[in-house]
Amino acid sequence: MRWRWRDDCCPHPVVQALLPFVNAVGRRTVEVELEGRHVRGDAEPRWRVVAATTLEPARPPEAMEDIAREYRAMQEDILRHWREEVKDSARLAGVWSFEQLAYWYVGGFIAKGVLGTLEAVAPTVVSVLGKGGAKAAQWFRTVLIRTPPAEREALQRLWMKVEAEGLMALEAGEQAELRHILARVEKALHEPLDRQAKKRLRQWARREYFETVNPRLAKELGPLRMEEYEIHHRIPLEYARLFPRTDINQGTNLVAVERTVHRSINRVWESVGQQAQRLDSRQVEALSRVIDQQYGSWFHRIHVPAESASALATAEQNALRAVKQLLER
Amino acid sequence: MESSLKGLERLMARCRKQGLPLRLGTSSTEDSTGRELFPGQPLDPLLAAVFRRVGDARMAELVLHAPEGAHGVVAINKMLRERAEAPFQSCLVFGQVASLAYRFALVPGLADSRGLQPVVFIDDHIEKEVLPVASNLDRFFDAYARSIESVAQGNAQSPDAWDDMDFPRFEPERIAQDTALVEMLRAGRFDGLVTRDEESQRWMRRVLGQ
Repeated sequence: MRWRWRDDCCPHPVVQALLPFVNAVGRRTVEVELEGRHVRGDAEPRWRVVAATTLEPARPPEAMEDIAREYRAMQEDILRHWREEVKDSARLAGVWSFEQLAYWYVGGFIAKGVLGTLEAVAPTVVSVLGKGGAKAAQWFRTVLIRTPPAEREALQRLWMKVEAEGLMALEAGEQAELRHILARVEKALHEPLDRQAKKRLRQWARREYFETVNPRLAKELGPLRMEEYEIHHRIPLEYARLFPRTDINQGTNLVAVERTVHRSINRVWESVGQQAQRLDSRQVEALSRVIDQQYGSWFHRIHVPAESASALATAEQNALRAVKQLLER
Repeated sequence: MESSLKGLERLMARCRKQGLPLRLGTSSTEDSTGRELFPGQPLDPLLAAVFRRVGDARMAELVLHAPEGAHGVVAINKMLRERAEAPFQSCLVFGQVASLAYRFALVPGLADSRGLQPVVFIDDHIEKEVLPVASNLDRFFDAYARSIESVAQGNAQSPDAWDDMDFPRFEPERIAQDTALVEMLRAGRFDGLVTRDEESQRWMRRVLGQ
């Protein structure tokens, strides 16, 4: 934003120049250019404001441009709603989608230089978000989905304050709470997902798959038949802890399969049994490849269970055998 | 028996009110009460009434399977019982969460004196979970409808409050209001069916008020 001096300006030029800048949301620094003139015989020099400009932060690196763009768009959204008399900005954030919220957080973390202060408590979070790009925002979206609602609300409340008043406005207790929440998020990335988190991720994956990843299949199936197709995670949610930097709900990890096929795939994964606790990420990827090889022909496709019952039984036997061999190595 | 489907009616009314998915299928003209879909497991009278009232249906997240056909109750349960895996041998799956492997089933072996069977929730993913949900099918519909009501009345700042409605897990207190179910739990009727993992047991303790 830039303000230019006019000749009919009021007697308090600096105040007058700064007034338009308060009609916005959040803290900003304004650079004011003053011109002083001393007329012979006057006791004081006369000052006038030539220009006032908001100091913009340095342009983000190219990799972060998409996030910065989304973030600015959301700030404009806040501003527009604010002017339309939506006084409660938290209410506005309440209607954002997880995707928008993720861009808002990630953009804010980067723009406000917060990542450095969080590195000690949330190294994985900082490392993924530090890379920037839409992928970072999408990864954080999955993190938000799996975060319990109460913690999500606390994070939202704190971050609203940072957005409106700046990071320094957070009191010591609030800063500690922000660090605590992100430390919990970091810890959760390396732990098994609880059942609530898994269900939320599956519900999200279902919507993501049919609306964004493969709307063509959704159209082919129609709403009624779509209910018979279940969403399979190629790297199962049960092993998400081994892939903390991966967006477990990304499109490439999601597959729609008819219910019978899904049950068969789950039987293969169940055959891992107690060894599941000891698998590393490389082994899980190898098992996932076995499933892809044996069941790939049913992925993302309509199929009639009765017509492929024997092929499915063979695929299951082959997969069970291959998994057994992999686990015996 | 149809007049006693108050929970089902409540659920349908709630779906209409909240604008949630509501699709009613072709209702069955045949009264299949008492019919054995699987040997020794008579069909629950309330499920038979549901078949006559709505057939296959979708209500909010819940899909009710049709009595017959490639995706009907018999075909689905045959598929689930293929490998004689628990808990499917002792349960009759009648519905699921749309497009997800979260299933709802009746337990014929635990029918009460009127032949009404209790309902369990089955997380049919890699780490299975079985939780008791209701003492009979209509209580199940009623609990589900009331859960939707409580989410609708809540003021949660959530991008998608419905995604946080993890029925039945998120409201063990509501399940605990089903005193007949709680009595069955206390009597150990669900032992061997309910999963023993920490999360299932924690949920059970909350239902039992422990």
